[in-house]
Amino acid sequence: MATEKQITKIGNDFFKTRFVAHHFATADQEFDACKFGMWMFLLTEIMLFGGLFVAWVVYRLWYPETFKHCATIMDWKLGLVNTCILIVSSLTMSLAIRAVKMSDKKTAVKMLLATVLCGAGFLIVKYFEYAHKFHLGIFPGENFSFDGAHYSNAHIFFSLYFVMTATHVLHVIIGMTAILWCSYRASRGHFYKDYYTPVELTGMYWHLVELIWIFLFPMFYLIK
Amino acid sequence: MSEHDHHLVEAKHEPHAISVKAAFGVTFLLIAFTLFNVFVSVCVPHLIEKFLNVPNSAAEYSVVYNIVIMGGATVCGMLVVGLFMHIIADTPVNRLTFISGTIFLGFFFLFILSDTMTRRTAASPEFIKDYAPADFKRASELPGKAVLVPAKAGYQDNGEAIKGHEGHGHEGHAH
Repeated sequence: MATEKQITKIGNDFFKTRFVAHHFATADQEFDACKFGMWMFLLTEIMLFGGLFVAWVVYRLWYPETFKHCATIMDWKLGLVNTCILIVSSLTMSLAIRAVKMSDKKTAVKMLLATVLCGAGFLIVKYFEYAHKFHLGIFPGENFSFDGAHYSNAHIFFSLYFVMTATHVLHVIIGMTAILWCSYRASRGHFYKDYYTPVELTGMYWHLVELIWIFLFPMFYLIK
Repeated sequence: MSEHDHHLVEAKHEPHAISVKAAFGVTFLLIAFTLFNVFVSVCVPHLIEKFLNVPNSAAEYSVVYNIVIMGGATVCGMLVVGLFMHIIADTPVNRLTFISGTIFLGFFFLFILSDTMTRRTAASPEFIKDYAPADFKRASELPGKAVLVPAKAGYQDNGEAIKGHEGHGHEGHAH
C-alpha cells in the first residue's frame, strides 16, 4: 500500500505520479515493454490471417472462374458500408486515445462508446449478410448448397469467406469488450496523460481489426 | 496489493497524440481509397466495355483491376499502421519488429506463390506424361470402378482353378 506521504503526493500532483509494477524501474519502461508485447501479439494475429490470406490466394489461382462468379454474388454495398463503419470507428478510437493523453475524461469516454457503437453497427450489417447467405442455402459445413452447377468448387470460396469473416467478427467482439472495459475505467478516472497504456493497446488491437477488414473487403467483394 | 508489487514513480515521457486534423485527414484518405477501389471494381469494367468495346470478362484487364485494387488496399493498410497505429512515432525496436514480421509474411507469400504458380497439378496431362509410368491411367480413364473380390475356395485370384483342389471348376469365378 502507498504511504500517507505518497498519497498526499498523488493528491497534490496527480498527473505526475503513478504506480508501476515492481519489476519495472520507471513508468516509461513499463509502457514501452507493454507496447512491445502488444506489437508481438499483433504480429501473431497477422500471421494467423496471413495463413488464411495465402489459402485464399492459392485457391483463387486454382479456381479463378469459380471465385470470379462467387464474388459477383457478394453484396459489395454491404461490404462498403461495413468498411466505412470500421474506418469511422478507427477515427473515434484515435480521438479517444488523444483525449486520454490530454487527460480529457469526458471526450475519451464518449469516443470509446462511439467506437463500441460502430462495432455494433458492423456486427448488425454482418448479421444481415450472413442471414442472406443462409437464405440462399449457402451454409458453412455439410449443409452447403449452391445454385450454380458449373461451379462445383464454390464451397471453397464460401468456406474461406465464412472462416475468415467469422474469425474477424470474433476479433471485433473481443475488441468491443476491451473497449467497453476501457470506457468503464476511463469513466472512473483511471486514465490520464501519464497512464493510458490499456487504452493505447486496445486502440492498437482495434486498428488491427480494421486493417484486416481493409484486405478482406476487396478479397471477397471487389476482386473478380 | 502489497508494497512490493508496485512502487511510486514519475512518468517523464510526453505523450505523442495524433492531431485532430491528421486523424480526420487519414479517415478521409481511407474512405477515398475505399471508394476508388469500389469504382475500379464495379464501374471501370463497364466503362471500358462501353467506350473501348472490350469485353467485361477480358482476363488481362481483370488482372490489372485486381492489382490496382490490392494496391489501394495496401495504401490504406499503410495509412492505418503508420498513422492510426502510430508506428512512425514509435520506438525503433517496435518499428523493426513490425517491419521484420511483414517481411517474413512476404517471404511466406513468395514461397507459396512460387510453388503454386510453377507446379503442374496432377490433373494436367503434361504432369502425367512426364512423371507417371507409361501405362498409367487416371481414375477417370478406367473402365469402371475396380472392386477386389476374394477368390472362392479352390480358385486363384486370376480365376484359374487350383489343381488338385476338390470340387473345383463347377461354380465359376465370381467377380
